[in-house]
Amino acid sequence: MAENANRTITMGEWSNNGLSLARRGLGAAVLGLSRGLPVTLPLLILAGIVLYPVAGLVGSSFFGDKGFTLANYTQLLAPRFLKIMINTVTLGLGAAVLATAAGTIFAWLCVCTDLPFRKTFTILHIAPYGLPTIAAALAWIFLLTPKAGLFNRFLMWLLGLENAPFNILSMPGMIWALSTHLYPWAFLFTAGAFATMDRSLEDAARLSGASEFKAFRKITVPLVAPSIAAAFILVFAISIEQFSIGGTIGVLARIPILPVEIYRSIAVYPPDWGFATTLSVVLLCITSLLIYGQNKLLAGKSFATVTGRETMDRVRLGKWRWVACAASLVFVSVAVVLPYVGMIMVSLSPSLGSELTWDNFTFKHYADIFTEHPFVFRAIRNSFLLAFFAATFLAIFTLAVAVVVKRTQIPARGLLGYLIRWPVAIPGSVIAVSLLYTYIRPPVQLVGTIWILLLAYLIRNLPYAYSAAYAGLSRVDPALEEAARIHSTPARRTFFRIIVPLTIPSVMAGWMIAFINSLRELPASLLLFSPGNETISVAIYEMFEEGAFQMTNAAALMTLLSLATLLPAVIMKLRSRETGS
Amino acid sequence: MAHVELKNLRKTYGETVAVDGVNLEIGKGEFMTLLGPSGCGKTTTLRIIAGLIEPTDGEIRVGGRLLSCPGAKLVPPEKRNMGMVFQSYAVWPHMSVFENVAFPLRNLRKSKDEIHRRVHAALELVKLDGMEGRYPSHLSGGQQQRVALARALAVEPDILLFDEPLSNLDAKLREEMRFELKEIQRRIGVTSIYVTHDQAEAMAISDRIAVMAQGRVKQIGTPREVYDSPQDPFTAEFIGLANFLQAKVTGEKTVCLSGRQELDIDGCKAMPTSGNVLISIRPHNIAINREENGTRNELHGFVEKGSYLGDKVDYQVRVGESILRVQTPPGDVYAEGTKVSVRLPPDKISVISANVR
Repeated sequence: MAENANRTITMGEWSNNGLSLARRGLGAAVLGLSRGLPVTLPLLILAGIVLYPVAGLVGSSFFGDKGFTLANYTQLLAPRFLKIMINTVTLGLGAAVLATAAGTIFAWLCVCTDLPFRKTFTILHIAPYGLPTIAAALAWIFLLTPKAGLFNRFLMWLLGLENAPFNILSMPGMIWALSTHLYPWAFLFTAGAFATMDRSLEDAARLSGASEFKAFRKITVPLVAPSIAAAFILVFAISIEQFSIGGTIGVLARIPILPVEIYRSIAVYPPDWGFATTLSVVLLCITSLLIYGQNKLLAGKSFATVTGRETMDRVRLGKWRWVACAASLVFVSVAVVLPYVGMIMVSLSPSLGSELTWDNFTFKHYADIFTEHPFVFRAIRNSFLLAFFAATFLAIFTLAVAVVVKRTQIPARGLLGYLIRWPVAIPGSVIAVSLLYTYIRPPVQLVGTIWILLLAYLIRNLPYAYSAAYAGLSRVDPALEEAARIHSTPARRTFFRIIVPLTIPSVMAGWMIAFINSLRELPASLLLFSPGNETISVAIYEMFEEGAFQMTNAAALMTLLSLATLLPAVIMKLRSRETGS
Repeated sequence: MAHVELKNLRKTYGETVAVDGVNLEIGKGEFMTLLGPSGCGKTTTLRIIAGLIEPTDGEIRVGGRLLSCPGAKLVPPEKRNMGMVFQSYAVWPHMSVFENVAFPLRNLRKSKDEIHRRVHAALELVKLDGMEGRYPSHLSGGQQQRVALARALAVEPDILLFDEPLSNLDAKLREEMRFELKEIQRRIGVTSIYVTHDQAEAMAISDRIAVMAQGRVKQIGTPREVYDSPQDPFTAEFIGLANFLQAKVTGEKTVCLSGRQELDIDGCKAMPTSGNVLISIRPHNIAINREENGTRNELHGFVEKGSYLGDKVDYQVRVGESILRVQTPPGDVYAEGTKVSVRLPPDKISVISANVR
């Protein structure tokens, strides 16, 4: 009996132990999950909206009607593809060389020297960033088509020429249009590097007996070189993935490039999915490698601890001062101001190619776009709604992710940081193809709805909104949040009462970037829109495709769109340059 | 029973060990300072106590309440009822002085009247009454530090944590604030844990000091204890100046130096019975004379260097193989090369580590 009782107790103890062990195990599992939640939840969201479609795209490029195949890749050996590749790389290299050279020289002049009017020039150098690429492309077509181009005609009249001096419908023309549109990127990159460089390093070189020029060559240039190289890579990556120049000038000039061919192989009936997905994978690989290389170059470079350099000694240009000023003026007039002028002039002309005088200018195209094209009104509403919701969701989501990545110790937060930045390497047309391919059939059928556009804008702008939120958070002393926590503030209240108010300027900047980018997005929109769900840039492209008689309307709509993007873009870029993000 | 109890606290980052088994007991109302060089783990320890860092291992108890132990859910910082003063002040720039101090109270859902009363009391305590409406950007560093202190005091915390609170202030203000901090702490009697690398600050302000190095607590004691009887070379050298000499135990109260001189040692608790030891003595405890007195504990050598510092003279005296640092009040100044004798008083010598090679 006693023995029995003893046994029962042991059994009881054992089962108690087992139970508590199980409870503890379960508790630990729940605890682990709940602690990991701030990372796992956004990871799942990103995996769902970014990783899943892109993985589907890559996978599908290996499958044909009869299962696994490499046939899609073998057609890359065809001369047709080779020609596309050569065109794409030529365009990318040409634009990157020109844009980086111009950006670096003008950044140096504006940041480091006593160039007259350098503040005004800085704003003008950033201005092309605010011009939608499609508007830049069409503006150059207005100005520089042989014979009909406004600027060509002006030069022929001025110099008494027989033939038009310039032809935009050529590879050099495409390179020109692209590099004048993209050099602000190089300008901003290198200006940041020039501004953050410790001036005492140059002074030390001077004191060690180096001449001003030698100090510049031996100290300044090597220090700034990684940023110049990074700018070069960035411009190259944007050049080979952009659609607007290749889809307009390139189409008229019959110079096929990669992103345009992706669009065309799907826009035709029946769509050539195999070719489109394979080209997309090729383009994705190239841009991913480029962005990876660019990150490596910039690794460890922090622009966060910039102090103002208004008091620094500027390089004295001496007699070259006014030469540099004149050169800047000519460049800015031709490369920056001229496209805007051409665009506005065309929008005010009675018809494309007619002489614009004080007597015949007209605002009727601004009315026509709404009366002749009932969908323009809808497109404007769609664009603004999409841009607003995409930017707002991104602002909140990316700030929350930035807090998790920067302020917690949860494992896998680094992965989260990478994944959210990754879309910077995914071209718009590749995003469009993967979304089309993924959401055209059940279980989730989004093709034909406006949601697929929203999804595309969210993906494209994740990295930009995130960078802004991250930079803003970097400037907030973590002790401010810790002080809130230790003084009885729960985590969520700390987020809304301390982190949000202190990062709001940067988060607003990120909101603005996402808003502007969404407003003027073309490559993804063009593949993803459906009747009823047009956007502004789609409307402009449709007008372009309809032919010359619609160009004046396109110019009017472009002018309106540019008004909406130019000012905020310039203000924001100036601000972010000042605060050093 | 101790008010705060740290048991075998550890924190590792991959291979790096930041805190390596810290054990500490702090009494109620006590002012305990964690003192050590940068990278010794003192700030990490403090932040673990605050709940801002999760420890890898070990237990934390405050007033008997378990705050952290392996496998259990960590009590979050906002549930610990602590106050903290940060090195960077961490005064919220988007809130006024009043709002800063009131914020923790609002989190505790205090009534409006009580918030007003407590904020004013706290601001009065730190001599900032009348500044309620100001914003931090219009305050000096010292005033911001006072706001941070008021904010930490307003909630009447169980424990007050200080993370090098004075190191961003200029030297003169720093010394004033030392006494003021101590005075306020004594008046309200809150248990305080203070982190600093400044030994003078630690001596001035603390009831007890825990000297830390390489993630471990090397010695705990009153300022006097750690200064007068350091128990290891690190403590002796980090707090004040110290001379070290190798010696061999020859008797109950005698050691023999490498140069065969015998030294008497008096009042040393940790005297081993045999073997090699390291002994230390403070430079200002050594007497220096031109002539030999023939007393015990006298060593002979010559002045290798002497610097006149105003309130004292700092000598380096060569004695056989070793160099002794000696500081004396300014009287006779011995020229370099002068033959001198130095006397090491038996009660001023500490044996700081047994069995050294």
